[in-house]
Amino acid sequence: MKQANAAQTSQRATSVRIALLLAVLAAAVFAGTIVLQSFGQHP
Amino acid sequence: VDIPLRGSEAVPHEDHPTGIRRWLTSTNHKDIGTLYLCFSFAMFIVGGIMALTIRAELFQPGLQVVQPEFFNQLTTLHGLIMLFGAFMPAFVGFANWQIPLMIGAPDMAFPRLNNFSFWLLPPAAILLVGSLFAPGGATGAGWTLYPPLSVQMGPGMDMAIFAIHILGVSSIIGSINIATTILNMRAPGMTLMKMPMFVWTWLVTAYMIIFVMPALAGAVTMLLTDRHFDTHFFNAAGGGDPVLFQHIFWFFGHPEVYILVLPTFGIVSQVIPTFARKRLYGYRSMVAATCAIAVISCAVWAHHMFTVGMPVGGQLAFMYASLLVAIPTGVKVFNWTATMWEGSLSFETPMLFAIGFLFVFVCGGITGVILAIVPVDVQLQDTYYIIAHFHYTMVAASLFGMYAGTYYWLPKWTGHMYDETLGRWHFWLSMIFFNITFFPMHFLGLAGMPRRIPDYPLQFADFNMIATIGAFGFGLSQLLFLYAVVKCVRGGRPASARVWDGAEGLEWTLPSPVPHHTFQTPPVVT
Repeated sequence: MKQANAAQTSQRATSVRIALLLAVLAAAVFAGTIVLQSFGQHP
Repeated sequence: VDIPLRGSEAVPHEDHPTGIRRWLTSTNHKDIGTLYLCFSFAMFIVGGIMALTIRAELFQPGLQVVQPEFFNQLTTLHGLIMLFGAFMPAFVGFANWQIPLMIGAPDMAFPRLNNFSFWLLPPAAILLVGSLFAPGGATGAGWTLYPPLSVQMGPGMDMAIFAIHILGVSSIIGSINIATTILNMRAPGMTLMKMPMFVWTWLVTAYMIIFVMPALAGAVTMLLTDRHFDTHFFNAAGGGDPVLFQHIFWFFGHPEVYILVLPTFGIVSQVIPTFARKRLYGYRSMVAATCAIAVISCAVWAHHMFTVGMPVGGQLAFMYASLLVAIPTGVKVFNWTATMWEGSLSFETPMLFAIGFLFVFVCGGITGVILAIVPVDVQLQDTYYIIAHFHYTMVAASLFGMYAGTYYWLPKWTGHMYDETLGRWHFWLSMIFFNITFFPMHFLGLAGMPRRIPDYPLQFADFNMIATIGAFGFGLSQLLFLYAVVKCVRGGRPASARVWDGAEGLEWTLPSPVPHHTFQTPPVVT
């Protein structure tokens, strides 16, 4: 039982890590789009 | 993929809330899948009514039904609602229902997040449709929202921007959930290369959404700050550049086409082997083609902008890259055909829609190759040829694929067989009326009729009349689908666990209808 719970917790932690990684990628694309666009301006 | 199965029986009935609480607070992937599918069909009807109003106006030259400003609002909202409100949520609905069942997972990786990503949709839909009642009406800038027009629109534009933000957040959260589920929740023994093609196509789609949707969010955020905070991202007078918006938009917009069609590829890759009673031909090349399409589709965006002005080198690069997409797509079409070759074919409704998909998708693909050629594109830019092309790829291909999937899995979901006669009527009427609607638009486009106009010269009258008659036939045919689904949900011949004799995969090891909780003990795939 303990082993099963530990496996579930470990799977959960891996899920969170994958999700965070993907969320960071999405946030980077969002921020990168705006930052790159700002560099493209001709003041 | 050969998957001998063991230990995949469902667990006994457990907590199953009823009434409104079941739907509002549900974290069950099946319930949330149903919510997604119902919501998307409702939005499909709303977007469809807008399309029929557009076609009613275009039935004859002159202005009969709506004013030009409202016509522009209708074309804009029709596009936005169909893409973000109907098609994308529908595929997420399929993913919610099917992915855990197909990979042997008890639920999605983040069930509460799953509930949240669905319930973001209704407020966004209200914002989008409600913008029609804003002062000045909804945005009429076209679904592409190009500045400077979109910067000059009224508050309806802001509502559309917020709606896109919310829909984008929902899509990204949903995609993160789906990708995580696929990567981390598969049953023991189910390696990546043993996954069903529908799961593969959704994994790639989820990556694409996570990669390109934030770019659109960035673009509309800059649009918002240009409108209200005196930034000049897209204002040439302030040092900005409206063409840059087009680049960002299409960096999202072109992959979006594949986001909407890859899950269809997955559905069709499940349906055709079942009704051909053969394994999918070239599984590995199908996976490779899916990945290749995703990568190439992120490098072809400027083919939407050949007339904007770009160096010849740029035109050539984007033209060749666009033509390149035809290779992995051709691999898929070849493999589906090879799967059917010498198969023991039967033509139930899912198979009819899958073959119908193949036909219309190849038609749309061929016009896509034609449009990728720069000199041709320059002539046909913003004509009805474009409308015909993308409706062949998106409406018929995506929609027919979704219908194939619905009829295929509906007995598994509801526990009843649908009415086969109704399904066949739905298919044939949809196929015939779809072509009556959109095939003449090729001729209209070649003759020079521009898109997004409520009135047109007399020489375009006949084909427009035919297209409008087809559109109303197509629209009404979809009510047959609604009737068939409702009838199936309410009753019908009981469905067996393995509904189709050629069906393979974990979902068919479960009873029909699928119990509320499944695979709490993971099955072993060997």
